[in-house]
Amino acid sequence: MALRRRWSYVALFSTLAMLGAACSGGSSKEASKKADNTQAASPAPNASSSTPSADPSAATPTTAAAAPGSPAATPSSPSTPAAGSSTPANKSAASNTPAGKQAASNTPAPGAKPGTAAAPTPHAPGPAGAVPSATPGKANYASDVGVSADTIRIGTINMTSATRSLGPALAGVQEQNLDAAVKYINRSGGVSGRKLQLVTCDDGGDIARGRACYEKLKDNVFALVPSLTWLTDVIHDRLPKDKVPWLSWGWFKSEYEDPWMFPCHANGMREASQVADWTAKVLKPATVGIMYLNVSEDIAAKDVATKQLKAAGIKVVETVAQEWDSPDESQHVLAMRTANPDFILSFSWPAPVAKFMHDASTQHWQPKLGFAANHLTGDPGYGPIFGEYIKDKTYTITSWGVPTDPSDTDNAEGGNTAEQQLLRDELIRTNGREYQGFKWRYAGYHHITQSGWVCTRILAKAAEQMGADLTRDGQKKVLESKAWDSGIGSTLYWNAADHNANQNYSYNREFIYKWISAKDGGWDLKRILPDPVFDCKSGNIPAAAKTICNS
Amino acid sequence: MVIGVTAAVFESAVIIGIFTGTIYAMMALGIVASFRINRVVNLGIPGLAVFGATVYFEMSNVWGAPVLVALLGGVAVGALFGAILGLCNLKMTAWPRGFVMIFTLTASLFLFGWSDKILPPIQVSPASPFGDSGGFKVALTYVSNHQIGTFITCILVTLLMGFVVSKTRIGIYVRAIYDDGDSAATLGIPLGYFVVGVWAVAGALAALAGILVSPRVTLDPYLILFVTIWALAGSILGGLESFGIAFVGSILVGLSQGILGGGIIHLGPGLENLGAIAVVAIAVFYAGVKRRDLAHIQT
Amino acid sequence: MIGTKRNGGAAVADDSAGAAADGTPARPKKVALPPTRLILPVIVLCLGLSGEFILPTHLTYAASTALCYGLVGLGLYLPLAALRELPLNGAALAGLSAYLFAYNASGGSAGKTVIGVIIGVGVCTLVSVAGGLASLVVTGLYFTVASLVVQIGIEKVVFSVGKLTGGAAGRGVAQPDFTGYFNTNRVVFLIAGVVCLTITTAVWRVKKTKTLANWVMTGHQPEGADAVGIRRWVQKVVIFGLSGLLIGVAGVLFAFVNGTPPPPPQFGVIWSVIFLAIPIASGMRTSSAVWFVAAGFSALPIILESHHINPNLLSGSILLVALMVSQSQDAIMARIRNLRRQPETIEELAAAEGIQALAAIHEQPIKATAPVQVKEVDLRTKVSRALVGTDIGVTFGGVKAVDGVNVRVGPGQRVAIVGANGAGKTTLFNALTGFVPPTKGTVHLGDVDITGVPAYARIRQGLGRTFQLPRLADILTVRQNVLAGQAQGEDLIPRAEWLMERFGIMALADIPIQVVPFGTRRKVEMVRSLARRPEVLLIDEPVSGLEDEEVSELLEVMLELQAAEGWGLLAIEHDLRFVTGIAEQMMVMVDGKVLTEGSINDVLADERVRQVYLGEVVSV
Repeated sequence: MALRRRWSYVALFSTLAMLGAACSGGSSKEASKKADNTQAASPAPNASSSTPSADPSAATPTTAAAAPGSPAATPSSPSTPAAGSSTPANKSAASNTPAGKQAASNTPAPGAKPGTAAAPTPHAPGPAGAVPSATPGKANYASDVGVSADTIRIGTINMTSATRSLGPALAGVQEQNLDAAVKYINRSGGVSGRKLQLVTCDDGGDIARGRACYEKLKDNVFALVPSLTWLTDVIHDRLPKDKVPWLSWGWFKSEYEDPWMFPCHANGMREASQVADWTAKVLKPATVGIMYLNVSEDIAAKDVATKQLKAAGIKVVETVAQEWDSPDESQHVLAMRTANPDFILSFSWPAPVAKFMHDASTQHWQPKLGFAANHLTGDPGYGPIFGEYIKDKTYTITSWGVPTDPSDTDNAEGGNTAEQQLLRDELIRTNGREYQGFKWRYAGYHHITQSGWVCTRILAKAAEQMGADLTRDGQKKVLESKAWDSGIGSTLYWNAADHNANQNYSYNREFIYKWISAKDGGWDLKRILPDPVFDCKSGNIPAAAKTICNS
Repeated sequence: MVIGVTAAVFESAVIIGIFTGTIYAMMALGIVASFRINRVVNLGIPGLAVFGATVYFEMSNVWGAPVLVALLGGVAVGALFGAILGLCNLKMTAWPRGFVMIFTLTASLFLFGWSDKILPPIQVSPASPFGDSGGFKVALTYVSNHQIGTFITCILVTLLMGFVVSKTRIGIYVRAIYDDGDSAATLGIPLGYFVVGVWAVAGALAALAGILVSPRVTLDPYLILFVTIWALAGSILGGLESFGIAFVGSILVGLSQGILGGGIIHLGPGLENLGAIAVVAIAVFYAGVKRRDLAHIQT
Repeated sequence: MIGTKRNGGAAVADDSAGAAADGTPARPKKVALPPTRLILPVIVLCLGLSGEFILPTHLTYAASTALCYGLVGLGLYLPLAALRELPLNGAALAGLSAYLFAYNASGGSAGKTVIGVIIGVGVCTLVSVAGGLASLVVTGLYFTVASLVVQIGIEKVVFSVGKLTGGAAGRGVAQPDFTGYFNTNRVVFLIAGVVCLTITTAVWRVKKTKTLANWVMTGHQPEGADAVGIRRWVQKVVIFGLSGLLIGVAGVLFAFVNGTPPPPPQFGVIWSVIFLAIPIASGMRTSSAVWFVAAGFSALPIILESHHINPNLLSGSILLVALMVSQSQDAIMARIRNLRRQPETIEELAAAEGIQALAAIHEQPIKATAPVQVKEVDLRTKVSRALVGTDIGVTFGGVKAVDGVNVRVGPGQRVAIVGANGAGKTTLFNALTGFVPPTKGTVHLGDVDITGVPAYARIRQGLGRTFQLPRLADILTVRQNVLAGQAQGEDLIPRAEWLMERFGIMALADIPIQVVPFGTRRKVEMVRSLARRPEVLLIDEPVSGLEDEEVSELLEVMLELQAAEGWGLLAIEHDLRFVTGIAEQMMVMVDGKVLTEGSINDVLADERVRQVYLGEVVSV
């Protein structure tokens, strides 16, 4: 018994030691560490961690972005949508210099002008009730949950501590993107005299933890911003009751059906529809193979694409269901090879698709016209994971523009814009030079983290419109009242009657890029025109954009 | 529904299945080795595999060590942690085996956690010890040097382990301890050394499996865990007792996946796995009826 | 001698103090549960209640989740503890129930909700029952893998059905809509708590009944279960059915607590391992501990959220600590007990133990165990039938273990079978009692042909048997082992207690079998067989391992009982003293055949029998 007891103590202390060692070791690679440290400096009430209401650099703004008189410092007026996007094909907009970037920022986006496609079209129902507007001269006060005279707390729930390919790599970076956006906004004057404060909660990828995070945040923050969490599929019973606006990451189709959720990028089904349409009209294959992940969202995406392709007279000759835990994809390569489609569409997860690509590569086989993968497999950081094979044969569809080489003139609108440059600069400012490698590209131009930046900015603009009388109800109405130009391509619009409505659809236009070889031998993307469109009749597309509707 | 299946397609599917099964078989070796000494289902194997592969990745890809050195390093670390687990087992003789099994699961969780901390925050695949290029075309598929190397390694290790257990004095001792540890101890067999030693070997085998499996599966704890689940299903056919049957069982699982996923039969979402599941279920029921004496886990 | 009261054992003094002054026997003293066994459920309850009133709302939600985890754990605890089976499909079953419930209940009407609960829990229960039936064929490791196959099958095939699991839209589950202090979360927790408390109480009540003994006997000693007439398949179906029911309710709670079912990853294979680990890490002794571990798994990650601890490290730590605690719980409880000062004075003792106990202490010497008053019982002199085996043959592979043996044991007859090891005696027993199917021949009990009747049914028809190595469940007490499988009511329990008294094991009635000596186990098994009042009793080496004095006592009791009740006796024994003492007729077996048979004296006079006993080669 004594031996057992002694052993128990030894094991217990070993556990604690291992735990301590593991928690302290190796975190230099964890992208969120820096943000966490920063957040720890000024904890929010009842919050696990938070960003300071104003970052230290705010006191000494050195870039043009923070200079008085710049659009960032004086947010766009409530009546005019954000003017963050650049003019099309403006090479200077893609410049790395703040000046160049700023010049682009000063140019209002065509789509953002009232009366252009960026505004709600006449047949779209307007928001229910009057849209709140600021009362000039009224002093700020604690107008709603999470709002005080000088602070607006916004929350985010991310799977920061989940396994590394989702946790530090993506969720941690998402927090850093949000952090960068908050600091930029605060440095630029805040929101009608209030500073934003980001309150974070880590759900580790566990739905129960996520729900607990929500319960913790709902009475503490004013609104939630894009978060990497599975919770966004199952929280819909609570949001209308608690009246918490959530600008969400848009992963699940159910997010579009929640009146209090404002999805910030297109989900799989919508992208499947667009890429299938684009494939039929632009590449015109005779036969297509589809691979998809065996989860309900991607099965639905496959079904949508299949229907659309069949309507266009294209035969789907093979469909393979991948599993995220698939150890090998050779058998699926064989299946595709046997069916030999002209083109393969993928609605899947990076790991099995990467295995498929590697196996197809080793088998020296490729479909005649190549592949189109949904944005999961199209993010810039994924190039090395997929290998050389994907170059010049793989297209990707994504919700936002992605910066490419300045010589890619097709990408001036949407991709190489001032807002993209601003995002990059702010990430480096907030997180340091480590972003100059893998991380900054990954963080800056991942479709989900881009959503974080964009929607935090939109949230601030909407709050600005209400001024002192900032309320959750008002925020919802303002968000639904008009189109919001992201500055990085897509225009967002949430129809007041139905966020899922196809008319005036937020992501009516998406972007197609193709993997190519970079000048240094690495991986790069090239914009492929025309852009895919969900519904040519519904508008919401900048007039200058070259899409399948007008090309 | 069978679509125009040519001999080449079928042949390719079988080859793919065999190599997928090899992945499971590699993982099964460590499971069988540790069960073969004290009847504990070692759920620490996936953790040891991931950590061994992590050490290999760090040594070869980050530190720039020669592949062989990195391989030995990974295997040595696997053996070390395996030995520690064996030592824990010795201290847990009063614990029911089901409890010890769950203890080994905690070891996996810790090793997964450590690996997560050490590895870069993206999916990585270590370089193959057999080289990342080279191979040959067979029917409609392509077999890489890595797959061939893994297959041969797996067969050699299976034969070696089978030989050691059945033909050597060490094997006799191992079998004696497996049959009745207390009686073996009364015969002067050093129980502790053997348990720790065999678990160290199991750890080394697990690490080797991780090093050989991760270049293809990618070095991700959960993917390796799922490989282990299929490996467990394969090795259970022999009651976790036989390296040879574990190898064959794992190949069977891989074959079912290769054939059912290779476009020979068109199935709906998830049904491709259902085929493999059905194969395993039939095999488990058959083996379960035939080998009831080996069945029981003491909880 | 029959009908007299005997002491339970040498260490136990007579309990005359318990008798009332008028000479009527006092009611047996009700044995109270030791306080330490009540501590855990009381603490669990208090913690649960405190959760309702003092926890912040997000931790109240965590507590509700813990209830879901705990209920799945409790569902898995049943087959784990009773049958020693490790089902690795708890997560899939819970998910199945959650999705089916939500799919049908969506819309919120009471009718839909009830239908949803019935379908969700019903399907979950049916799948679990199917698992129970499968466990009749495959057990242990194979069962674990079979259940894993079910888990993966449900996960890959059912959970990918978009209509069922594809997001929350259309799958909302009505929750009470409250604000203020008693907000939705608190009310949900209260409802979930009441459900779990009710279920736990029901499980606890079941554990207090004889059903527990039947369950444990089924899982721990299948042959022992057959020997007392337990229908094992029924028990397995019941256990797995209850397990499925509990997991099904947990699934419904998952959906209710969250307002919609969690997405499929919550019910993936990794969670099935964690759910199984919850009861294991709780130590498997008390169901209350399951709730503690579940609370750890649910609450700690939420409480420690801001530290961004890797989930694998955190889960591993919780699991390891729980395992350590569960395996050291005796030592921990002893430490806790030692913290409380022991009563020293008479007054303190009185306060602690009660006046009655004090009086007993004053008047009586300290006893090993509390003696129990046993009712006198009427011996059953009902008519017995003869057991007749005709041309019995059993072949294993190519080996004829029993070859054309005829045996007859009539009412009141006492027959012994002797023979060297491997002669086929026990195999003949097994063939007669249905534990192995005979390859030829017939078995009749009276006029009834019982050749194809399963073992448990033969026991129910009137056979009784013991085994060479007693088939008793270690974790049950002597009394539970004796009463397992016996029909409730009538006078079986008094008879069993009377027999325990007669065989001198009454004092050990509430002691777990695992701590009693081998000889006592033999007696326990004998009592268990006799309690049912067999028509023919088959005993396999009944005195091996007993002291001479015990053999004499056993002989005496058996003869008296047999004479009084008139059942037939068939005994296998090497001890010639016992054989000659108990048997009238004798049968000698060699190589699966009968060498000779007849009266004791005639058989013993046979030279070939002497040779058999001397180990010489004798051919039949």
